[in-house]
Amino acid sequence: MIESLLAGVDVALRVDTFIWISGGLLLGMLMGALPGFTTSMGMSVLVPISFLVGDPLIGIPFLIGVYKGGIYGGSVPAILISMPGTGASIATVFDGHALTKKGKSRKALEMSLFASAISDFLSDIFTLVMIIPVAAIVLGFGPPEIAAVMFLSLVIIAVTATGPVIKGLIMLCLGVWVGFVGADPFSAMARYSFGTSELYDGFHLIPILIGLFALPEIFNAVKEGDMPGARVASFVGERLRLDELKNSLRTIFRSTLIGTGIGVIPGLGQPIAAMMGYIAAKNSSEHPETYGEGELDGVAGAEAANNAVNGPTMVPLLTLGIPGDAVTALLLGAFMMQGLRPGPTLLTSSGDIVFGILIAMVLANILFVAIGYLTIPFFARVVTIKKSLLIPVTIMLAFAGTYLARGNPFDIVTLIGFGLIGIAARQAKFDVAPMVMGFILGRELEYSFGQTLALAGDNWLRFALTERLGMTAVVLATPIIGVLLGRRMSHFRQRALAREAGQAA
Amino acid sequence: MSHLEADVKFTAVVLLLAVLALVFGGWLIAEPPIPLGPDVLAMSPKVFPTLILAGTALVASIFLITKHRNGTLFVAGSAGEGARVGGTMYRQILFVFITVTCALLLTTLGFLTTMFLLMASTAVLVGNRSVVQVLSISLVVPLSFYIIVTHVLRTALPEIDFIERALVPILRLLPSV
Repeated sequence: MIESLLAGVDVALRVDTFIWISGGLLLGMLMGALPGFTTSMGMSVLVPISFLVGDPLIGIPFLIGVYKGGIYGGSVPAILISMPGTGASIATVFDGHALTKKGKSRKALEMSLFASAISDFLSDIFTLVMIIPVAAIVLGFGPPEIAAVMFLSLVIIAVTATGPVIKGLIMLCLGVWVGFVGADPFSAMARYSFGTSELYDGFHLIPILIGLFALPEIFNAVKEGDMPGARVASFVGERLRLDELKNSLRTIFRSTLIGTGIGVIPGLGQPIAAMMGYIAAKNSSEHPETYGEGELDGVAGAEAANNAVNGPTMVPLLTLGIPGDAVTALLLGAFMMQGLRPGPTLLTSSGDIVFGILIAMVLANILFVAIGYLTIPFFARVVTIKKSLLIPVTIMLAFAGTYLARGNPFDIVTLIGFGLIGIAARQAKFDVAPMVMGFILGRELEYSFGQTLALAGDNWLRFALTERLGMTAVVLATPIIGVLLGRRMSHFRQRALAREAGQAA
Repeated sequence: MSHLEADVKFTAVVLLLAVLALVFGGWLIAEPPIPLGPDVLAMSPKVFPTLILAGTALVASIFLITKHRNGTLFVAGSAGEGARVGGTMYRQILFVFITVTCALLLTTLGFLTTMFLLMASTAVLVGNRSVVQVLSISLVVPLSFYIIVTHVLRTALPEIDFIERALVPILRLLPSV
């Protein structure tokens, strides 16, 4: 694996890779800076573009650039107009916009940039260091362990989804079910294909991703109608001084640790990391009362934490094939389109490419700082662009991207079908991310579970008892479901009792 | 006037589909024509879908029962909401109709024509009232994209012969990549 790492260094240092990463960073910052444009929506329409460029060492780093740029870009409208560009920037609003009101928006934007870049760099190094031992452990996994880890991941994803756990479970089940459409992995018999050849191959991931993430956003824009371009109070002011950055380094390092830890666990994601980073910064401050009134440390704490999540999400993705959130599910789609199958054998089969991508990801942070610093004035103005100019371009990219992925017109129908499901789910306040995860992991779970049964033969109880790691994961997952469901039920029960008591009174 | 909550409607549809798929599972999932041994086929193609569908039905039922017990199945509508929702609803239905139509016509009408229709109508539905902006975005962006994809990336997009022939002189003017 060390040879692969060295080969990765060699292949990562290519000019074209850096050009595409820069393009990705710029596009990501643009998408993040536009209020109402989410990173997942932007990435979903750009995944097919990453495939069209052909080389995985260009296409995947391009998307990683979009990912990094998008998470940082979300802080721009959060600071300037108090409207987080992405969910990850919610905590940035508290102090970022207060700084804008004080005429210090430039300082806040620069703090956000440096905190993001430093934490991103450190967490990427962590990813690079961690991936080798994790991959070495995972290489020893057989079907029982993989089935158990998939099961545990699905449970974690469902319970950490936005909104009530039960809604996450419904969407997860729906996703797993959709994954069953097509040929059975063992007997190759058709399931839910209604005799059509298009459905026999199952649904393709790309139209599902674009349909579930991009179309509901466009639909929402249609629902809201055009909004006048936002007015920015100020995007000039003092620049960030070196001593101010030095003062915030402790906060940045703390938030990096928080974000890195959260990134490794599937399903948690940037918004939770940002809130935790912000709260940790506030709690450890000597003057917590100034938080919310324009504290630079508040911006640093939130932004460092949310960007530190980016790299470590690649650890479960590349070693186990488990996407931690919607954006890594899109990255998984991009890997699969390039013929790379994330999972235990990826590092042994395509180690040089994977390490090349990871090293490019680390080096992208240097470009991140340079591009971010030079373009702050530009992105500060981007927040004022009207949606009605960008939504039509997005829908074109959604259609074209879906078609270009395989050149199959049926995928356009799939796009619309899943777009309608996404729209309905959004109206009903269901998070679509568990559905995507269910679709991706459900088939893997079924396959590895089937293999486990075949291995176990008649004596499955003895087999289950000897497969300790697999059993541990299942044993861990079961109480998580039980406790969370129990808590949810008691919450509903308490609310019902309170209502009855209120009516009686 | 009260109506069902959106999440109740969504869950009810999921529940209905899950129950139907469970009931008609025999027709929707084909069994192997010859019996395969347990070392080849450890479980029938029906096992996992049945488990998941049963789980879906169970979870959806729990959700609906809980909503019913809490008295939150319905939501009250306010006076004047109808008129406000009417305009929005009209735009939404029109958007869905246009999107579905364009999806079905993409290969027949070709990429540029379909995208012109889709982008122009979306721009208008989103609220852009500037004819110049709508026309320029809907014409220039798809055309540029088409040229990049077909000429630079050398990948095919569906297009009708007439437009393809009309574009040849423009593509010849561009440097070869």
